[in-house]
Amino acid sequence: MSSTLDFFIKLGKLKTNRRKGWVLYGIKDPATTADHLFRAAILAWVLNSINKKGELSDAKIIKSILIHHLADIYVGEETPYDSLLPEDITSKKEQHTIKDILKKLPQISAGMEKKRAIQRQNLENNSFNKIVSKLPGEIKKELEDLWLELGRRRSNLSKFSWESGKMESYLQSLEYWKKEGKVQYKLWNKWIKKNLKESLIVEFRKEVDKHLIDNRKQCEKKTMCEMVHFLTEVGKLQSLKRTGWVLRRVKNPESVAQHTFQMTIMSWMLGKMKGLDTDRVIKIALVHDLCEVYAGDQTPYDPVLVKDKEAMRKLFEKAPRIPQSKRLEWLLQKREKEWKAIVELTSSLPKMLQKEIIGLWLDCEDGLTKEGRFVAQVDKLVNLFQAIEYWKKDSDFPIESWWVFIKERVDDPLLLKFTDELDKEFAIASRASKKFKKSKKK
Amino acid sequence: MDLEREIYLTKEGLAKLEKEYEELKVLKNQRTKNDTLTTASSLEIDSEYSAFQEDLDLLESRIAELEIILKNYKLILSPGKGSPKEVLLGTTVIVEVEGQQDEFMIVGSLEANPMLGKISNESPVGRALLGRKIGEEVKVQSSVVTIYKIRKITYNL
Repeated sequence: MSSTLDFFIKLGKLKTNRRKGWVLYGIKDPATTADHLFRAAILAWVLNSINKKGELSDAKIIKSILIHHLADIYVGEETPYDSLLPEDITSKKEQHTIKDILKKLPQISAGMEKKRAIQRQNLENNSFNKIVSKLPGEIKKELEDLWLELGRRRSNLSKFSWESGKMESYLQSLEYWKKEGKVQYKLWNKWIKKNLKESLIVEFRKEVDKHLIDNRKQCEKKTMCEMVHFLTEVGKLQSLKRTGWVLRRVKNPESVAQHTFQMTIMSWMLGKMKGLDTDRVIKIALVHDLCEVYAGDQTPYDPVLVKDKEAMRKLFEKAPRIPQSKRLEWLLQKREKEWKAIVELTSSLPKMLQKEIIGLWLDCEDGLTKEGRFVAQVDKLVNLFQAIEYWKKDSDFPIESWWVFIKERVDDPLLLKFTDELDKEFAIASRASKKFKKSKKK
Repeated sequence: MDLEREIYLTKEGLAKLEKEYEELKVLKNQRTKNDTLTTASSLEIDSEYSAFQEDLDLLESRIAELEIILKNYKLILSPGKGSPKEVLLGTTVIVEVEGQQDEFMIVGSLEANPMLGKISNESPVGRALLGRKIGEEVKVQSSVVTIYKIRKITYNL
């Protein structure tokens, strides 16, 4: 269990790793790798629902996308411009040079390109092997098989997954261009046209262009047009910061998309250890917070929130204890708001897909299957996990209430075992923090 | 909840699951008799059963799960007349925790809904409270120790 915990901690790096391309363009609060993978997974799933070519498994595509940047944990992200960039891309002096470089597509010879790709592949393979080496056998094997298939890029599934990832980057580039104007959208358009081969994704790209470049409100292909709208709405979860952390004044708190990314992978791994249907597990986890696009991120503290800063700080030191009637009223309101939001968000998708997404969302809410009940509890555990990560960075972070919560809310034996593992990790860090505070006082 | 473990249900929880079982069987019959009823365009989004409307496998597995539950459940029984002396399954406990008051009903895992104050008997807090009496202080151990003082025990089922 400790090796799995270690893997989850490393995974956290993808939530804070700002995508290099957006950093180069100087985008404000740019998307992280986790933000990108979250929406890429949903994009691929949505497009695959109308994919008539072959029968690709949604779940396998989602899993492939979720892991395809795992190697970045150690080797960072690369961009096609890397060999042309100055060493320190953050230096103010270099910003002018960087701007010039970004004005055109990188001109690298085919031979150089091939050499660079092989070097990168080796680096990524080594990094990936290091990351998964200590995971339990079955999980490790599943990840290795997916990684190998992705690396070869021969199967329809791996091609579809890769191109979905690229398509998400393109969609993001156009959104940033519209919002901040800093992105060279014409170059991105050239780049994407060169890189897409899958006919369905090519069709989708054309709809994206009509919608975001040509500003057309009416689309010729209604289904795809609606999908563009859906995915741009879902993209809002990349910048929606989770309320619980915002209220506790965490610096750079995670977004709902980042949380969902980590939770989906944790649910997958832990679900596999428990012998659950992980294809269902990952889909439930991926959709569980989609309603927040319109309903916002609500917390159990909502019924008792106050404006006074000091009173708020004290409030978060303890778990909220709210009278039953008030709690019930709040829960009913929350449910109604979220129900309306998930129905509205998915209303323009093909009906079968809408019903699937709503069904999965309800499963997490109401515990209709063992997978739904499990994912709902993983959600609680992921919150504790993240709270510990914030507490490690700032020992004044009010952590106690998370421990109280988890002991009341989780009853799954495997997750309780995992909680014990977290407890051990927390105890070690806690002792170290106390020692550090003591030495500082001296 | 693992269905291999003991399945405890309150009367209310049992009635709810029995109702769901009957309604899902009707839904399944409709689906198998007249599949056109369930084509995408004919279905309304119904918050209660929409999860099962499109997915026959899911509908069947939920019916199978409900059958296991309804065959193997143990009903949470009333502890008899008068106030219960100790915390049992189905009792409501008023506790003082971190200087605040809260109310928990101890139920089986399937009915647990901590947001509604229904705590699973298999959760660390549920396990620690079971069998304890009014006035006792119950410690729930972890790096952060929480003490629950039992103020009142009632049986409202």
